[in-house]
Amino acid sequence: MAASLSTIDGQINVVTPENVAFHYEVAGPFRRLPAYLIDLAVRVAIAFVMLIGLWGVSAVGAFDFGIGFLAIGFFVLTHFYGGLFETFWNGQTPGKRLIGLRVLSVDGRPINALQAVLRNILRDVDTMPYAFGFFWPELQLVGLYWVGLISMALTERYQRLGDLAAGTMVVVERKSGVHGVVNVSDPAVLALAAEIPVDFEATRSLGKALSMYAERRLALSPLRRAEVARHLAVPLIARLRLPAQTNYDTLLCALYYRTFVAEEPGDVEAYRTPAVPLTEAPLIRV
Amino acid sequence: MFVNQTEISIRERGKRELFDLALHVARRHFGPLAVALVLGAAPFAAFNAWTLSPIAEYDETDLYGGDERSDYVKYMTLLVFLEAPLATSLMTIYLGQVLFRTRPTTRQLIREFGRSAGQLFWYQGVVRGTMLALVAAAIDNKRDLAVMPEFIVWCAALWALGARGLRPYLNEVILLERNPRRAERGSAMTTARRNAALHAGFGGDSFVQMIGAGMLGFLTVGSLWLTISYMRALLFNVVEADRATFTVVLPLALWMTVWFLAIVRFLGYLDLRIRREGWEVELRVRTEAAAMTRTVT
Repeated sequence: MAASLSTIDGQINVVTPENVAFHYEVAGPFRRLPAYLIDLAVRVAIAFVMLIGLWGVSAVGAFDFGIGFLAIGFFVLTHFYGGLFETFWNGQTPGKRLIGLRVLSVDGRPINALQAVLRNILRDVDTMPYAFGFFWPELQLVGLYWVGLISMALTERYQRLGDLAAGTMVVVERKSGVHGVVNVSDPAVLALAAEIPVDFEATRSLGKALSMYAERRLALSPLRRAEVARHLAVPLIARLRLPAQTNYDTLLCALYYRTFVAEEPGDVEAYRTPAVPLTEAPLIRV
Repeated sequence: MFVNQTEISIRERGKRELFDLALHVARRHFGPLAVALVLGAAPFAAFNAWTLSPIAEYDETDLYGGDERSDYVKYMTLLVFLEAPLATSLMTIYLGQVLFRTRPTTRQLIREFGRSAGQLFWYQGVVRGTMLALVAAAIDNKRDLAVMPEFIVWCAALWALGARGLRPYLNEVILLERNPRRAERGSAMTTARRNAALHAGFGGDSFVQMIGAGMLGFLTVGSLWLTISYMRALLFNVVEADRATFTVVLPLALWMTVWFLAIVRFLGYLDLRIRREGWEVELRVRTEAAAMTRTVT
């Protein structure tokens, strides 16, 4: 029986109201955990500094003022730490910034103050249930986070209840997409590139396959390279009327070179040399 | 098998992303995976309940004389840890098939399991010491030979910990790759060779990952145990840790955690194959080759 057709992945496509399409990698609970722990440590550190402040003002006889200030400070720290940071740091807290996460609206736009505060206020609901005090009574105050976890498991964008209410999601910040061109300038590759018909032009999807192969081939063993390249090389050899013994790995590299490196097909003509026989490339033979 | 025909998107992922992805896999295939675990784990759960029943006969009014309780928690955790690979075999087969969008029936799962049961019993049961530990635990059932069997169970657990830490995907190699146990020709691929080749140079990483997953599993068990107890308190007004808290809720929390970690393990295996063998490249290349062939014909 065939299963449903959508592929399970942690990536989503968002089209903004301005009709601009973005591709996002959404972060689930396990990728958010380090950011949460860093923010927790920051909050504990701030609370510690506030306690030292209380000790300081007590020494000058302003204990009542200090305790009132501390109560307000703890309240703000507990309920507005995330909301304030995410408002002023464009969807990031110190933990999220360090880990490379950002909160966005589900339509891909930056979040506003209301969304930032709402999703953080509702964290108390996501934290439920609290440990019931079995075994250790002190554990009653520890949140077990199952409401948030189940909510994240049930939604495509890993949204906890706070995210659902505020219409937000947490995404992984995009790393630089510029990888440069892979160096495939082996003499055998250049020689074979010169043999490829001048009118050859890779389609977009073929270009993507060639690019993916060229980027990963050095991580594979020579045998595995030949095994992977064979699927595409066999029909290409027939189509381009190349010798049947042409090395599969060299052929894909040559096509990659022609598609992404050589500015014009004529660029490779200089490498057409009988000193490097096409069928005896130094790479693996199949 | 093409790039757009897999149930799970084929690409390299980080370890924490695998845990996140496991939540989505668990959600989409919750029912079949739950059935697969119940079928696989039921014999072991029954065995554990039987073999640990003498420890469970403690005096419930003695709230602070917790030796039996801690013994029960310790033994139950050890046994479930040892049994996990065997108990999750049907889950592994299901996930292996559903990856290519084939949903096997329960009967097909059991038939597939039967084809690899011999090797599974040999490698996971005998070589990795699970059966030895279960026999020792069964002998210890009457609690009159306490020292030696307990020592054997601990040794088996440590042996399994090392073996699983260094080569975690033996289940997947046996159940999904189906190499023979013995080579008919000298250089032919066998399960042991395939297992060694897949994990070569990966032992250090995988051991660290297993420690991380173990810590997470430990926290999950504790959290589930408390959460289920919380639900019992809400629904049935059971506010003290009674006998069922140990004999029912604890094993339930342990098996639920094993269930989730088995999905993570399968995704880890998939990721290792993608990294090692350029699987995503092969799928992309094959898809392109098929498109090209269609165009030509």
